[in-house]
Amino acid sequence: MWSYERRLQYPVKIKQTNAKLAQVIISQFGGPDGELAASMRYFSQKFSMNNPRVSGLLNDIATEELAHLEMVGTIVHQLTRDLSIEEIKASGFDKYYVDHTEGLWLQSAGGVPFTATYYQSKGDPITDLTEDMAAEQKARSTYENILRLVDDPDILDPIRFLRQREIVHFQRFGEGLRIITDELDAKNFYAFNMEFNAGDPCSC
Amino acid sequence: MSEKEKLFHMIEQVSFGMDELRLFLDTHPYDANALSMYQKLEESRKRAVAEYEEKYDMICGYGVADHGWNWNQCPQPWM
Repeated sequence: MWSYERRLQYPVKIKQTNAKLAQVIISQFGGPDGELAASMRYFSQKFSMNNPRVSGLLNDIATEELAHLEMVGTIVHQLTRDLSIEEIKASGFDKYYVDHTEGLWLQSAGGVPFTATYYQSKGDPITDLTEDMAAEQKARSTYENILRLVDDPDILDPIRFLRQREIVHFQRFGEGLRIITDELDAKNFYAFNMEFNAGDPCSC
Repeated sequence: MSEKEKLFHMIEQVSFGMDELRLFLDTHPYDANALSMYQKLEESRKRAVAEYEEKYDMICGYGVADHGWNWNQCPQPWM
């Protein structure tokens, strides 16, 4: 189960609002390669993941992604709090504002609502870990795109942190894939799906 | 930085170190160096959190509530 700690994983202290940037950064909140997509992907996959170590890894990274979701939400909130009507109109934020005021809502930068179709949970360990490695690279690319659009050091700092974590997660999932393949039939990794009809996973 | 801020910052840093080691140990469970680093951080964190909760506010959901209910007190970390 989850326990909450009254802190962010990494501090976010933005002094200057910027509604234009908020509309871009919100993609890491509710967009296709954002933190909720990542968290729900790994969380969904953990249940059928036969190997308890890799299942635990999925759970631990899913948990960290929720902490990142919280950071991104904080960034968007600090960029959009107490905006004037002039700023709202000038930045194009009026389209979001009309439906959500300054509330946070799970959507991409383009306004597409969050959907489970952003990720897969295939119930096959090779497939799921490969999906996860791709997800971390997609997130890294997205953060790099964001970094190119930002000058404010208060925003650059937490975004750089989040980008670094994606690279570390990619590394860990790669190791998870190796752990899985080490257990499979060495002659043919695809001989069977160990998550299906594999018996008791905790007899290891 | 006030004493409270310094202690909070230290808890943030030590906890992050543990987050990183937790994931590393998940895929390298027999790495003795990593485990010993984790154990050292855990001891530091335990002391720091106990001190913070005793002097200031609750940090953990199952924390000490000796200063009245300040769990949902301003400022929240996301504000």
